[in-house]
Amino acid sequence: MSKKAPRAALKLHMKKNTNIRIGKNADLMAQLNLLVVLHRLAEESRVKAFEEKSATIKVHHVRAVAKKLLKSTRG
Amino acid sequence: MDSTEDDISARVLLRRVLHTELPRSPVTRSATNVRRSMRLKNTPGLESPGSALRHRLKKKLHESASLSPLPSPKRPRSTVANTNPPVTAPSPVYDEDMTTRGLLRGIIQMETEASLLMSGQPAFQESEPNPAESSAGERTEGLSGVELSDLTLHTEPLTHVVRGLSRKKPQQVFSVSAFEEQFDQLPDNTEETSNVFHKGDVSQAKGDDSQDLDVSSGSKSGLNLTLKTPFVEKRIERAGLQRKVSNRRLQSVDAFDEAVQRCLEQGPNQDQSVFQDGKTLEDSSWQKFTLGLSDVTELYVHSKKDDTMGPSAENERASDIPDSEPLIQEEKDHEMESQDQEEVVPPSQDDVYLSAEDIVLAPTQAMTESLPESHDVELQDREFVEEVEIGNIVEIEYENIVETEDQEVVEIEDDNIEEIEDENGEEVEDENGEEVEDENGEEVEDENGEEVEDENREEVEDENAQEVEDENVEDENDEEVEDENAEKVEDKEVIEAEHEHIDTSQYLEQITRRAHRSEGGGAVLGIPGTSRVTKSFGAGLNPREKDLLDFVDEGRVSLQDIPDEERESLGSPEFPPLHPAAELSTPEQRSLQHEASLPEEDVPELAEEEPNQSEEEELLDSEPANHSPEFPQDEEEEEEDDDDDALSAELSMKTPAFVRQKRVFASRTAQTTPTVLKEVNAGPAPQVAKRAPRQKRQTGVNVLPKSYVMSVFKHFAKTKVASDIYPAINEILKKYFERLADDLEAYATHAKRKTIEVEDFELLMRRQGFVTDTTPVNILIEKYLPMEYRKLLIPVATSGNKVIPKQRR
Repeated sequence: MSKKAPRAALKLHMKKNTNIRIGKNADLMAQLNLLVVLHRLAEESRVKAFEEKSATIKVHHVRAVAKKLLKSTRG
Repeated sequence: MDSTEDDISARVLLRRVLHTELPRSPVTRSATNVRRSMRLKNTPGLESPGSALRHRLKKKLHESASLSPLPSPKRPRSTVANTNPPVTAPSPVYDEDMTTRGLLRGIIQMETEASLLMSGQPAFQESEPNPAESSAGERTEGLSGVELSDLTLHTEPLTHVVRGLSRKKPQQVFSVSAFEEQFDQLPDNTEETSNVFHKGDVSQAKGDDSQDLDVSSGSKSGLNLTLKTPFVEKRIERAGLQRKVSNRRLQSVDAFDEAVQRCLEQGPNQDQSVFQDGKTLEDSSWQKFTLGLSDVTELYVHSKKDDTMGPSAENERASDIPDSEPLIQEEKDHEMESQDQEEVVPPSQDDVYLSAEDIVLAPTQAMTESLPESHDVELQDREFVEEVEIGNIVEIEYENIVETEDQEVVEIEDDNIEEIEDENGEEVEDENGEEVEDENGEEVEDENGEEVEDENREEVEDENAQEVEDENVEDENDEEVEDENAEKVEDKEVIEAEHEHIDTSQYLEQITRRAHRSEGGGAVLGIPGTSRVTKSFGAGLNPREKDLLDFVDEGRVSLQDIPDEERESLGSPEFPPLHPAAELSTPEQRSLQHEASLPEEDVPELAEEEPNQSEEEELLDSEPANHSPEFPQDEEEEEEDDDDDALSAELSMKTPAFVRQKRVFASRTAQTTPTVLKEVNAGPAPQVAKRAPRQKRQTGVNVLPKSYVMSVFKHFAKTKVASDIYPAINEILKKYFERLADDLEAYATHAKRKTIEVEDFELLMRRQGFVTDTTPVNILIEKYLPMEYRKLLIPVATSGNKVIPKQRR
């Protein structure tokens, strides 16, 4: 968990389609947000994997959860 | 016991009160009385349920008291008559009766009074030491004559009622039905039933309940009834609620089912489409790319030439070509179409569109078809056939490509082509010769010689062709085609020539493409990268795509050649250029599809790559186990040649080498295994080799480095995580980031700022629900981010005399 996400990559993503600028530490917040979201994604998929009684998280677990999650984290 | 006694007395008192103290405002008293009664009753605590019921009754009485002043006048009569005996009564209880039960009783009494049996009731109530609530007594009073009689008969009711708390439910059941019956009877029996109704639902309910209770319980007095009534009422209430709930649920469930079904229907469709695409091109994304590029290619193709003849010609060719290959023909057709797409002039976009799509699908189909057959011979045959076609097409395409592309490109191509041709030609010849020989044996050898000649011609012609464009190529192709047609060995020759051409064309294409690619922007780079990857077997998909590309290339060539038909004669000097063109076209198509950017660039690049790849593939595929030894040689030769080529594109240099090597593996494996396995087998090796140059672009493709994402995910998941999950997560994150960027931009704009700040993020997190009033953002920060970042976001007050808030926001 205590890893450093590549700030440059995150920044690149955020600026992909627009010309808007990113504040100084805003990309850190982006990383935070990403972590939170990943966390939630992992949790949900883990639950889903449990439903299928598999100790491993498989792709279809994640996919099934993803859509709902994307919708919820809309803001 | 005491409570019961109190209750009993309460009843009596109530009656008295009712009778005597009518004019008083029950409300006020009731309030106080109720409170007192509540307290009093609560203290004994012997009969909690009973007391609860009583309380309710009292409340009801209270209500009824407020509602119904009518019974008051009547009360005095009954009360007067009845109050005599029950004089002793605790004031509080008395009051209580007045408020709730008392009122109710009054009402009931009024009813009872109206009825002949009224007199009996009060006496009954007073006399009977019903421990149960007074309300019970009231209710009993309220009972119609029928009930009264029963009550009078039974003096036990209270006790029974008390005991019967447990029985209440069953009694209640009865009471309900009985209630209904009595309800009907009430109006008949008593005049005041109407009053009862009027006076209050509660009273009515109570009365009815009480009546029912009496009827059902028979001897059981109003106590039972009273006890039951609340239940009944509750039941009714509950029933009502339940009904509502159930109804709602039903509807929602139905709607939900429908929605689910719809989703399922849509879902599988989507999934299927994705899967199908994925299966065919191994990557749904690829397919999307290809499809997208197809449009571009179409434009590109259109601009280049009007080789609509291609498809028809190809078809013809396909038919001409010997049989062994129905599949090949199909592939060719597809290829032709694909090729045509590239070269077809924009005006014929309509055709191209179809062809583009077909091409995209065709190769896959071809591949799939080839896969099941996966016969070496068949593959070889196909390749040959394709080559034949491709050769023709390549020529045409080449011309087209040259035409459409910028002159610079053409020039570059020319130079490259020349160079490539020279080298490729030699190589191709050798390769083709070898391949053909192996497969065809002697005939091939002959062809080789021819090929050499052809290559030479091609080289020369290439230059001319480029300048002259279509005409030259066509002429050459025609010549070649004619020659070949005459010979049965045409196929072989074509194949050989195609190989050569393809190789050269590929080189040329690649060169030109690379030139363009280098020029292209990030998007282009991204796409070319991917396409290249595919071509270069860099990715697991590459082998497959390469195969497809090869097929497509070949197909294109063949398609284009159809009109020329002469293309079969690989001897024409145009072949080499055509080949590159054709190959370019096919890979271009693929790459173009991937890249919305300059098709020209893609074409050259792709062509270059593909030729190399296709060459290798062709070599590999075309040569079943027999040629295995030759392959490495050929590849080596090719590789060497490629390297030697003064191609500007270094990548192409590398890729071919790598690709070839990979292709060797792939081909070898492919020989024995279906294409899918081929790719899989070839995947790891080629990928490793080719990824080096392409890493740059892949970061653009991938949201975040795989290591980081997977580690984070695994850490959060706390359970094992399949490794192939990464692409899915990637897609998800991609979408998420897009939306995230949009939202943040909106927030910033709303704040009339031009930069996204931290507060924007805070707002976002709040809206997402991650941050609430109880979860400040800082907590999240501390939770997730490493220390360094935390410091940046949160000003930290260092211990010591100096407080240095690190405000770097």
